[in-house]
Amino acid sequence: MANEYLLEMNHITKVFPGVKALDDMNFNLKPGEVHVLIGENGAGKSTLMKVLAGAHAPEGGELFIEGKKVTRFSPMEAQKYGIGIIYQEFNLVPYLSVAENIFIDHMPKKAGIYVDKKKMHEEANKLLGDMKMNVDTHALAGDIPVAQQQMVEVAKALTHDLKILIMDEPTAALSDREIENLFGIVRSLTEKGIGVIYISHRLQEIPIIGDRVTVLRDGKYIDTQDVKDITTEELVRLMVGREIKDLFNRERQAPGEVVLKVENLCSEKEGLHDINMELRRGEIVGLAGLVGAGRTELARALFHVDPYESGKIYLFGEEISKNLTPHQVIKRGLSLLPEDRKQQGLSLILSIAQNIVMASMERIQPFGWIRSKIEKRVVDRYIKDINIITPSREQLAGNLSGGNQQKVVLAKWLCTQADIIIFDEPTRGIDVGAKGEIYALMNELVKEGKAILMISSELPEIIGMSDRIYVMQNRRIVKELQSSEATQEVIISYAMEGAREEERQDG
Amino acid sequence: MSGERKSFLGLSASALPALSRLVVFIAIVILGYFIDSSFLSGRNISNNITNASILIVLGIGQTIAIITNGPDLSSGSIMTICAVVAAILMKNYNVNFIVAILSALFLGGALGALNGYMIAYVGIPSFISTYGLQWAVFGFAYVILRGYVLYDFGDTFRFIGNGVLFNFLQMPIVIMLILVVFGTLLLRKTNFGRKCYAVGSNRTCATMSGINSKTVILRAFILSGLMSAMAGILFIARMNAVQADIGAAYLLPVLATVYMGGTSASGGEGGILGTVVGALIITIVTNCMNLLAVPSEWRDAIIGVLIIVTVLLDSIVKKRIARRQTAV
Amino acid sequence: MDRVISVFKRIPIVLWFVLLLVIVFSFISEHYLTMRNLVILLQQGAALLVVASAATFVIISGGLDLSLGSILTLSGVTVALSLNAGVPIPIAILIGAATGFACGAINGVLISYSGLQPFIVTLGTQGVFYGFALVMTDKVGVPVSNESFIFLGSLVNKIIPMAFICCLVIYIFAIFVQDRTRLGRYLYAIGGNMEGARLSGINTRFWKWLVYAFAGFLAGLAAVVLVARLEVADPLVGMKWEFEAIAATILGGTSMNIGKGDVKGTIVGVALLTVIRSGLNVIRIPSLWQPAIIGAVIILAIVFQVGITAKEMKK
Repeated sequence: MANEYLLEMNHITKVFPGVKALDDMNFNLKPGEVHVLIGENGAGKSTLMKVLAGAHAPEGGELFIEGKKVTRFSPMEAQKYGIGIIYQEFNLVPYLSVAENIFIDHMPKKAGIYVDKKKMHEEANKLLGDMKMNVDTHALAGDIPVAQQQMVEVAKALTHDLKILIMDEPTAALSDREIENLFGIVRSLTEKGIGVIYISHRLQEIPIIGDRVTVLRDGKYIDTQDVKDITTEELVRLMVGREIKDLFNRERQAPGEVVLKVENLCSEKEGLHDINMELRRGEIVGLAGLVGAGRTELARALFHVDPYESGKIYLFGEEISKNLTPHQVIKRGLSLLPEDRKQQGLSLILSIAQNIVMASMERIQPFGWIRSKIEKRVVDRYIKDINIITPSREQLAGNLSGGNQQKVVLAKWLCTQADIIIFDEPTRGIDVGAKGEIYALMNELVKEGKAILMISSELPEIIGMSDRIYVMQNRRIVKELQSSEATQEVIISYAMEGAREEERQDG
Repeated sequence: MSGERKSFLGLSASALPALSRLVVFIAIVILGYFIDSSFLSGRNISNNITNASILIVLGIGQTIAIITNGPDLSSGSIMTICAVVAAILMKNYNVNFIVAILSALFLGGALGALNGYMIAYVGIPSFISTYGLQWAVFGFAYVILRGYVLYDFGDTFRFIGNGVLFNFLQMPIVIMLILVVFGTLLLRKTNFGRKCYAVGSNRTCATMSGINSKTVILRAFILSGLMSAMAGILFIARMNAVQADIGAAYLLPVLATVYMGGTSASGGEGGILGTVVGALIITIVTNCMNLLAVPSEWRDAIIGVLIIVTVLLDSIVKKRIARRQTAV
Repeated sequence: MDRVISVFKRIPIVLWFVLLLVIVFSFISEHYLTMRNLVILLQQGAALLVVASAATFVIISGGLDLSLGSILTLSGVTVALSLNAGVPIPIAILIGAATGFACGAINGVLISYSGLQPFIVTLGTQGVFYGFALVMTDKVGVPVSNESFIFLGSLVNKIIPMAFICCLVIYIFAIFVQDRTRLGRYLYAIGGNMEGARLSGINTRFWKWLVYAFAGFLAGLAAVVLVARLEVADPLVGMKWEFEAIAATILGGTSMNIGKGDVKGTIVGVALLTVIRSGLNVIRIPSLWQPAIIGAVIILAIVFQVGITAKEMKK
């Protein structure tokens, strides 16, 4: 039965506890094409691909590969069908070598029993060489830089007999040269008739590499177009469902007194160098930079989770000792919503209520004895004010969607009556609707006179929300921008090494 | 309508595993009744609960430790050495029994603090640290007693272990109940208890929420040490004798009690009431084994199977719940 | 060569501990550093070396096995009973190894396929395996008199430590499995990134099961040598061995829960434990004090080892 399509996914539905990730989704792929899949965080792109790759079994719908219906879903089955996937979160084993990781599910064997290490390293070297990568195959996968880890994942996928290759945000950690390299590899694959599904947030890449593009939103299928037939602006509109400008809705105001002042902060552990910054009431200050620039490290140093050696921090005009514990810092009104909300921001097996009061116990019940009624009132108030969607306050935090989890973390910190709130990647992995809610909340907070420091890798978010932006590069703050002068190009030019004329001239 | 159903399941998500335990418990009680019709007599029940008391007291400390961080394998040894010290003070130095009890408690707390320090501040995994301590402490108990058996303590002291209040309440049960109430209130109704769950479920998150995780772990193990000391005192008050290995037989049953009671080995979940049920299950099973004259070599095996069955049931129930919740 | 250096970099502290103790003991008693004593030490530590290797495998994979001691006991009992029933030696050895494998397989099913926590499962199975051993022997040791079998564990001519040699061979086999077979490599995958490994197409459930089965198998082999050396299958021997095995593993540089470690370091941990035990006899510490001191020294050593590892991780 001749079939034009390499892959057909029809009416796919996937449900997780508390959230419908995919709702009647449709998708198809032609041989030899690069089909780009775009959508906001939480739109369902990764989930759809995980279903294809066998990591999840769908609750509804059908899947056909080269016309054959797929009945069993597991990573091994997917491999049999010739599906390869490079995940966004790396699946490398940290204490095994690069070569072993590349061949992890089919290590070459000698005499059928033991691993032929020599052959494995030879072939790994050859493969990496073909990809124009210079990686030590004996290095432990946990020790090599992130960009190289990404390429190791690519190599791993290429060792299989592929019909379909899925790439989830492959260029997030790569330099321009490496991206070109990657595109070259993609092209060589499509020339052989392999279909490539390419998930990316970087809209500028679509015209370069894509043949067709499909837009998803909120778990639903929106549209598919040929790349040459559609513009970036139209794509964005389809992704978001409305004009971008509406999303942020910042009501800017004149800032008040300085609540946080940092002078010459240096941290040996994190390599922070000579950080100077300040934060005032009523403003949102953005902290921009590339992955690894040191933003999270700065936040942790401010919050006294990590130590710093020299420099001064002033909270509300008062210098604070570098030996303060996070507990004391919290009492003074500082709070931090960490980047990794599941590992650091929440306790997934505790209830929403317990999570919300976790940082405020001394404040709510100073005698150590828990007063349930008062606690319930406090918790319910925050659930209502922040619009956390849950059947009960006793629901386990781990069962909530990403957006609701982030709201719980925010509730926790608001409960401490913090005046200064540091957000580290506040809307990562959150669907558009919840994003809007969080932006609105941030707006409310600064209107009340609080101050917000926002770390974000999403440039539109930083530009849309911030009053001022500090750009970090290589563990230093290299530039302070007012919101009026901030554009994506300007920020990136300061964030990337060697991007600026002056830097290059200094050599 | 569906909202209601969800919340019913949501609320009993934590209650259902407890239900499965109660089912096991009831099944065993029925079994006991079949074996011997006097099983459900007041005297037998009272005996069983009394016997379970020491296990429960040890279990309280262990539950707190496991919820916060990990198992305290030294509890049997701390129980022994505190009992030994108290006994020696009373017999050889004629010390007032109240002072002896306080000294034992102090020692238990101090050893618990040592555990807590090594686990929280030095960073040794809890069961290596407590296991090593256990070895050392048992060793010291041997050294102190030099193989002797001490017995025959004062009457007032012995009342703690053998006395009866109001003509029917055995003293050990009274003490056990007081401690159970204390422990349950501590875990459910105090900030400290909340912090134990927080630290045990996600230590990083707890620390970043301003909780001093190290202090919490230290205190949890001090409490465990105190409970072990209490158990030691109860033991010698009841048995009227002490030797250097009285705590050895309790290690496996205590751990079994706590884990069967629903406390999770990964921390952050569980409670003392579950431990009480676990202790009762084990005690009743032991009672049944006595009635059936089950030879001693089978006993550990039976308890082992019991542990596995309970935990397996638990896991199956949890999976069913999770599957139902998925059907949103 | 690089491998050797990196192993050395990881275990110097505990090794120095061992050497220090040896020097101290040899000063105290001139009999300590003799060939004769050394050989006895090797014999004593032999079985522990294999059991500790089994523990190391499980720990690298991120798990825990508290039943290793009881598997050791039960396997020893089956070997002894088989020999006494006239079963030829190679078959008896096979039976012992198979017993170990079967026990480990049971553990593996409960842990890997039913998803129960290793601590609790092996706590339970430990009682069961041990109970079986007690029942089969009526709580009494089973003596073995088969000359050729005993040879495997004996001290030939008072100078050749057969038990140690056999265990060393098994140990080398374990090293080979760790470094060169899929089972060994997958230990790190399961311990270091199990979900990632699953998504990469590895049947992690099967391999996790196999880890426990293989650990049981090793314990079974250790039992064979132990019974040969002691000339009896004593149901009381083997208790608590799992803890020593775990201690030796940690002393040897393996970390818990992160998929990092190396069974090649475990021999140092075993050496330390054996030296401590033996040395206390030599300096004539009354057996009353021995457990106390052993416990204290073990804790000290582990404090050092964990402290060093933690510092390395922070870098």
